[in-house]
Amino acid sequence: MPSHCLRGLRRKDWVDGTVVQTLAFIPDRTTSGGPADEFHETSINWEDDETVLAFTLDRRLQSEHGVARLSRVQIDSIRQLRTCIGQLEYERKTEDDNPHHGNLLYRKGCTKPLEKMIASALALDAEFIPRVTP
Amino acid sequence: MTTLVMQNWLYENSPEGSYLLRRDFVPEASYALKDAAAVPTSVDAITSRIASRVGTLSNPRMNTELSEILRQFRFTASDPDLEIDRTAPLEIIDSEDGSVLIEWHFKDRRLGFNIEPEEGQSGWYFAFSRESGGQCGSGTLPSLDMKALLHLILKQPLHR
Repeated sequence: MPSHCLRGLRRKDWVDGTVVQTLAFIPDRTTSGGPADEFHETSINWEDDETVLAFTLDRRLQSEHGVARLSRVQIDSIRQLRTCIGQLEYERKTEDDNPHHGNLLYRKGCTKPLEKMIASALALDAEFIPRVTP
Repeated sequence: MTTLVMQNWLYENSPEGSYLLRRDFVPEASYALKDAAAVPTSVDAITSRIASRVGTLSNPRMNTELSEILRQFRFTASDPDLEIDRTAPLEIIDSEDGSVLIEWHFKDRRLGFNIEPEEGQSGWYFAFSRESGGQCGSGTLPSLDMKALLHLILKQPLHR
């Protein structure tokens, strides 16, 4: 797995200035994925190489307000917290038009305060990359 | 019911059953004399965005929870031992999943309260950045100890 992943910031309220908001990492409860479909998903692109950032920003629908970059070390440090063990995972899940696609996975049944804590911790450690308009 | 206090409440990310439970809250005599006018201006300033949303959430229970979180925050933050001058205002945000988040942001840490459409799932959470130790914690509303949380997030010693 690559050392970093990118989360497209689709909504304006997912970033405040240069600060990534908790909202950006709350999972989509309409999704079902991961092993045995036991997880809700938050879409990411794995930063396989130096082209993936531009690739992600090109998909304007998902990244209108920039991109949040997370390191896998940051994700793993949250996963290893005692209350988070088994609650947060990640995967690669390529799509026809996106070979870099993956997901952060939140276990279904995770309590909502814990889910929000995870999202907040991820946002806090994320690096904001703005969209540069020419 | 006797108040139960468990050790290592926050610092070991304890499971929820170990949190402080306070079911029959009896206000201090001095609390009865406190009113909105006695709340420092700075507390009013940092909670104004939350106060403006009281009564506007989608169901009565969520509104009650919002009011209670605000009440506890204002009461606790009015403690002159807590230094809240020059802190950012609390934000209130509507999430796509139907929840409402109240968050207090600092450069390296966040305190949050989530008000959920699903009964029993509203609560509190905090996170510190990895550079600042990476502490995180969460719990449902019955386990909320506002005094401990504010002292933790403001990095001030808690005296009981």
